[in-house]
Amino acid sequence: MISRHLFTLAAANGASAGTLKPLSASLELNERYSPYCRATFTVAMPNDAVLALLNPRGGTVAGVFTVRYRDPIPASAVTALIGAPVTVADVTAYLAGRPISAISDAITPAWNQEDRAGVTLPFRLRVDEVTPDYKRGTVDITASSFESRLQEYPYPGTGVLLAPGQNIGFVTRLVVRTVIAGTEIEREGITATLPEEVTWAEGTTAWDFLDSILQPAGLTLQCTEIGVWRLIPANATPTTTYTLDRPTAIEPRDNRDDWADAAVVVYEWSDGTTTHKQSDITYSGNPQKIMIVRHTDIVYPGPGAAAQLLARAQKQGHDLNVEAVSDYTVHPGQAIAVSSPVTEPETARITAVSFTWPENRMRITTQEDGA
Amino acid sequence: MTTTITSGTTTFTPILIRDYQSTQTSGNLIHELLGGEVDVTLREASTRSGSLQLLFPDEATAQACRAAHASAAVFELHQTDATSVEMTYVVDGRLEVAPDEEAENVWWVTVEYRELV
Repeated sequence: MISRHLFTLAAANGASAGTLKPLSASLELNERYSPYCRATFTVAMPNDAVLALLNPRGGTVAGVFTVRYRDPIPASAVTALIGAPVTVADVTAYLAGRPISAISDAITPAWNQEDRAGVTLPFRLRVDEVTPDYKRGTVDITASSFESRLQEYPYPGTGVLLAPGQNIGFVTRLVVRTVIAGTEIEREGITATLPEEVTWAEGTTAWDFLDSILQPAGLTLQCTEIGVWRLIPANATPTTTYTLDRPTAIEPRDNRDDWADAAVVVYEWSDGTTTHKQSDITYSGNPQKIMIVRHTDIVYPGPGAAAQLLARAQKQGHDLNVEAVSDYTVHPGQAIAVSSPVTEPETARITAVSFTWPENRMRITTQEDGA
Repeated sequence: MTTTITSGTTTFTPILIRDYQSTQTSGNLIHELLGGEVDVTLREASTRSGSLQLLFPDEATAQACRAAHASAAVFELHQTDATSVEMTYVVDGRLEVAPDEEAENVWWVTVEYRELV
């Protein structure tokens, strides 16, 4: 397969924006990590005004990865085909009765036998850190999706009490809007409700509080690479399959690192006078390996988190990482069918993908199928 | 055949250019697939780079040309006959000045360059 990869990047802060000259980029989408999207960029040293836009106290970066599988149609090619000067009437007359594919085939060289449409991956991220290197004349930038806004917001009041029975999607929107006014959250089909009374306690970050109610319900809150907030089932069954039959590397590995067959979630919290402790425990059979997660300053939200952790942990232990030329349609949550001339076909679920530029390679991380 | 090298309002007119050569490096990436095939991602080649040897009729002009190339500046090469060698360039590498080994009072300036587009 022959392709051409392009990348553009710009900085913005408030109403001001400026173009950056990227030298390298790495962008990862990971459904197992918050923020969901993390990226690093190295750019040529911009002027002082553009450098100031990158200040992490308000700065954002936006860009687009593009891949093409054939040359774009230049205006000169159309002119050559139809004859100059080209008017709209000329084009209309020429197009009459012809399929568009015949026209594009006539004026653009196809690079591959199997023609494919180009794909773009636009993104907009919050700048986390900027490191100018004046000797090299470059700037290193790290940026991520906007979950960090929630992670950096400890509740400043005396606590919010939420009654049982409230829709968790509604509660999530309420919490997110407390931090970022006016935010909309995609939450179609989310019917789970709060099983018990919960408190968003003073000093607990919005993210930790939401995590304490979303995890037992088997839900994940993500802010996508383009800034769309969505509440989705964790480990939802993939609805699409990505077929990878031209890998540059396949790296399987079996281990017990993250595998477990028992899960314990411990909650410890204080009501001002007394320290409380409550555990949520799930296991199957006679456990060999126990996973323990401790939450401090989070009120016991009811059972469920341990079962969710166990469901995930039982799928761990067979890592399959694959590499190929970047295809920006790949995203976490898809199924993947990997085949190559030297390995047995294998299917799995994509949990993360990392794109690098200008290497134009992607690295896909998976977990066992059927999660 | 007239060659001129300009930078801003400064112009040099060497007697001739010797040993002009330019090199470009392919930017295409070849991705080795499991099984022996390759995928290719297309990229433009690098801009031209190489060296110019410029002959000057006296030491003073040669040194002035060297000093100009030693400053932080962008240069344009114009050539009336071989227009394909015309380019905008910066110094990238060595900058040498030396008297000719045989002719008296004739000086060479050698510039390693990188083309700008």
